[in-house]
Amino acid sequence: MNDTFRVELITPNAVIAQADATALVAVGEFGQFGVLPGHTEYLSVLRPGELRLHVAGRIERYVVGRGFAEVGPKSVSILGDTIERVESLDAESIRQELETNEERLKSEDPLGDEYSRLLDRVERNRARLAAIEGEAS
Amino acid sequence: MASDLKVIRKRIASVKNTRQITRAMKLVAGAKLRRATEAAMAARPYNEKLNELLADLLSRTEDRSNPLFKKRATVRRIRIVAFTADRGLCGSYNANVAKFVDTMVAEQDGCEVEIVAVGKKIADHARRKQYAIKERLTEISPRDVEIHARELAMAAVRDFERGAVDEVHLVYQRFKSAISQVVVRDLLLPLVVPESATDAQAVSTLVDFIYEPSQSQVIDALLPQVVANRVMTAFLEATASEHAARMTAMDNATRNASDLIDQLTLEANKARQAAITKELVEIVSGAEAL
Repeated sequence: MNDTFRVELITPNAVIAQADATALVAVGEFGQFGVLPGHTEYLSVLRPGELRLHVAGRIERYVVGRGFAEVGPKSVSILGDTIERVESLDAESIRQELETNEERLKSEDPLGDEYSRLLDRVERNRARLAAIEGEAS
Repeated sequence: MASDLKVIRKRIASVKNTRQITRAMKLVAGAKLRRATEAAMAARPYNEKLNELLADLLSRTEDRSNPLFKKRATVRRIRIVAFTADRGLCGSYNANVAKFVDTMVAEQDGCEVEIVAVGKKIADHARRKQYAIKERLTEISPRDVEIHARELAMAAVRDFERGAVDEVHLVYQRFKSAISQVVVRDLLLPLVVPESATDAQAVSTLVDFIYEPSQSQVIDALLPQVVANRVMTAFLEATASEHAARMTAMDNATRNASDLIDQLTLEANKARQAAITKELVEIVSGAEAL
């Protein structure tokens, strides 16, 4: 099984990566899913989480914000509002932002706009941290 | 005569200063234009994929139940999101958009219009004309375009869904080339289904996706993204057009200044020659009188 499929990671600002991958793992609405060559047509909403790309025997790791994955038999498009390489992230500043936002979240009205905005940030930062820590272990 | 020469020389100096400024502005606009077109280019793949995805999705289903598709039977209130620059000195760029908005407002009989003004120039114009201004956004740095575009789009989606507005239009200048930009109006909401997706034949022949979480939920998640992306595209186009318009305007101004300097230099030389001739005549006639 040395078949590959084409993967494109695209954000509104740039094409982050294009590669021929042998496998891909991402986080969908119902949790992690994996894609191998010849996957059936599949369309998923992506939640903040880690995305792993198996390219030429190595694993490339990214963190996706929110977006969509369109899986075809030969190609996969990942459209994310943010896609970052795990290596480019700074754990310390993310942890700090996460803590202040979690604190602010406690005093916000859970039905307000500000609450959902903060919650969104918190979820993204949790996903980033989880990805970074996943690497360390 | 000598004072005449002095006046002309002073004018030459002042026009030279002006030319220096317009030339500098042209160079700055040129650099900004390059950055703006790069940003627009970088946004294109996402834009294309997103629209492709939307068309793919809609061609596999007849479901148009999402409220963002719903055309209102009677349009009572429309929102115009208009994009201009914060500053002038860019030819007719701002005036064209303002004029376009005026025409649109004049065409709406019996329906209220509210303006979302992006850029100081359209905000000032709308205030002078006493339009209802819903929101004004000025002095936006290129870094924050994405955030602002997203917020504008989300506000539009929210207000459209709860019926506060029945249509949302974008008015901006589309960047065709460095020397040509046109004012366009896009209907943002209700969303128009792309034509490729309405072909009934195609619907039955395509293999359907497996959806996660479900088809309608994927549509619900995708549509606001599409709206946000269209606002962002308009933003980027408007920015590129602004810098292109300014570059052209400043190039013309620089050329006009050069022409004026040539003309004034000629006049100065004539005046100088006249003064010399006059002096010579005076000397000669003085000598003759002796």
